[in-house]
Amino acid sequence: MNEVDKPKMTKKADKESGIRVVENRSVPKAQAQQSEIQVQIGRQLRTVYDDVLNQPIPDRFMELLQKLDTSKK
Amino acid sequence: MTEELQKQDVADTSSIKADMIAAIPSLRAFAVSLSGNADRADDLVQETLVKAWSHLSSFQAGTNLSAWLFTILRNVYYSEYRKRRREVADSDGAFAAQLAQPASQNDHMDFLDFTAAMQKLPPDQREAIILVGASGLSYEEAAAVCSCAVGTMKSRVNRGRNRLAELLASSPAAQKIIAKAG
Repeated sequence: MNEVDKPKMTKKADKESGIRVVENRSVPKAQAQQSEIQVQIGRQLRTVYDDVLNQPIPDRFMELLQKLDTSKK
Repeated sequence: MTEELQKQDVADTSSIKADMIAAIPSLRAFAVSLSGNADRADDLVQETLVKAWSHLSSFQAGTNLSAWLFTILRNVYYSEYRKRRREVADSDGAFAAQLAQPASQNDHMDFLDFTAAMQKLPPDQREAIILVGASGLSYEEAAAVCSCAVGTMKSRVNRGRNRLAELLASSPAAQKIIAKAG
């Protein structure tokens, strides 16, 4: 059909992961598998990171900063 | 005059203190991802805060405080890493096993496999993919944190994710993904 209009390969930069995912419907299988693994890696990285990011700040750090702040000057 | 200066000082430290508190969640997230160990991560954060506080004079007001803290944290991590390395090599998965598994893990790549694979990466590649891939820093910001060239940062990210894919390709969960994608 109108193949000219369709880019053979679309590069999509996954902004959050900084990982560039190459998408192509007709790429060899290995490449599709590789990009799927890269997507999973990005997701996994953020899962570990965000899990900690969303935890409340442990008391020990609030106490520590309080101590540092009062001991200085 | 002296009184005024002192007042200024007090105001400064309390605003820096507030900024430091605000940076703690991302420092912890970075430390856990980097070390693969929750307890160790909090010790790293603690040491980072103490170091930062005693070097406040070297922080340039108006610049990015959390980037500065990230830089300190990685320095703390690396000096410890070199020490530890001389002592005992960390066994695979020993650290990972101590991490609480996030609830959202199901058919995704196996969490323990992933954490273990992360720890097998050279640390410069590991930190690169964390800073860019999870902390959301730009290549430029990540390069500044690690005091390396932007090109070096890009190549570390690339090598890191390729190596990670290689390490994970043999895991059962990755096989499933491969089967699906194929």
